[in-house]
Amino acid sequence: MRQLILFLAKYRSTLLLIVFVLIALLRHSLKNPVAEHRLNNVGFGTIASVHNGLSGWKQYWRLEAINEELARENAALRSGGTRASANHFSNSTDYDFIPARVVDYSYTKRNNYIIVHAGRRDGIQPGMGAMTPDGWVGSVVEVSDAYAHIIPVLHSKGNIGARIPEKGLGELRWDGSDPSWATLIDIQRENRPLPGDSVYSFTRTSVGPSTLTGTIVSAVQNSEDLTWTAKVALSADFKNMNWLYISKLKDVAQLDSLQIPAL
Amino acid sequence: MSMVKNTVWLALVLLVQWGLLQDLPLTVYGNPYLYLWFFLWLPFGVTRIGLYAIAFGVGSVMDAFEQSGGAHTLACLTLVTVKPWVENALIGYRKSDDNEGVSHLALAPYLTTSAVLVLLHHTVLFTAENYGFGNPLLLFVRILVSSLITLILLAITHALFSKKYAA
Repeated sequence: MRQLILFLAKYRSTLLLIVFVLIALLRHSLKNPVAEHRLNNVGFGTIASVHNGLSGWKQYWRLEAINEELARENAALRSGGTRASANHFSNSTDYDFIPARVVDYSYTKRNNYIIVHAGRRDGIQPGMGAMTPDGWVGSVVEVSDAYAHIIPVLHSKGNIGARIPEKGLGELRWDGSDPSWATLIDIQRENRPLPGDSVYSFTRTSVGPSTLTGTIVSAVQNSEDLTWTAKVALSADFKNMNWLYISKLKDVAQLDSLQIPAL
Repeated sequence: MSMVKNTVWLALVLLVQWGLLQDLPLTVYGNPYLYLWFFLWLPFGVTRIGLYAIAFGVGSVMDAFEQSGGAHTLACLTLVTVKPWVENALIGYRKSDDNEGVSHLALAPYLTTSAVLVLLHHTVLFTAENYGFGNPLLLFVRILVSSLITLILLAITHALFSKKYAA
């Protein structure tokens, strides 16, 4: 026993370091899956409210950008232009769109995040989609009473299904460098994507409506399986996040009742 | 007294990191992490246990803010573990009750010491964030660009707060 105490006393700093490193490694490994672990969610609400306090004055810096975005959206709505086109997600009558102010976001990391000031009491649930008027952003993974955590496309686990109208489906993924570009893979060989083709999100109905995500810039054919891989210019501006819409399916109860397996 | 002073400095450094630097649209290749200045400012006399505890605390706060799991904690723990060795190698022997830190040195030794520490911290941080060495070129660019911006900011901070020591 005395030996043990002496050992602990002698190597106490090294042992403390080992414990700290193990805790950090555990926390980090549990962070990896999209479904966040409870350990990492401790204090999410508190952290989010600190972000909210800081973003209050940061918002002043962004007022010009917000103003311009609103003016542009307003002008487009008045003129009945592209935004009111049949394909725009806001025309979907199956969803409610809950506006949410962004309190913090990142775009310089490999795994980025967005925190918005709207949560459970606004009707937001994990799994709902998030979009700007310009395009698809990501999906909600975690909510507190007043805040929600969104994993954007700019995340190693943020891949989504995407569709080029009349040309079929593919998978949209981000390579981790520039937040303006993403890659669309696995487009069937007979459906060559052309520059200028629009790419729409293709998710489960409960997540969100089909939403403009980007535009094809170029495409190359894989020599092995002859599928197409296309470079996509993302339409949402991930560098300037101010307000988002969270899509909430109106008849979610009906959908849930259908999904209950027959006994 | 010095405990209170340290805590106030820490709060200020984290506030500057979060209030000013976090959204700075400098580059898409990683943020500058000015909060490392706090570790450079810590007196040489702080015990190893103290250093580990501070690193764990600061890293955990950064991780909570950045939603980055344990990446900052791991990077900070690495930094404080090797910090005494780097200091010994580059600056030489220091008294253990010394009340001054790396930031109290002249610009040249300050910058060389911080360059080694920042590069090491950023390497661990971005590799952990990347969950490995996938896409190595991008990882390398990210580490290099981010370290460079952090170092420039550290040099500016040194000029502002350690004027009498600047060479």
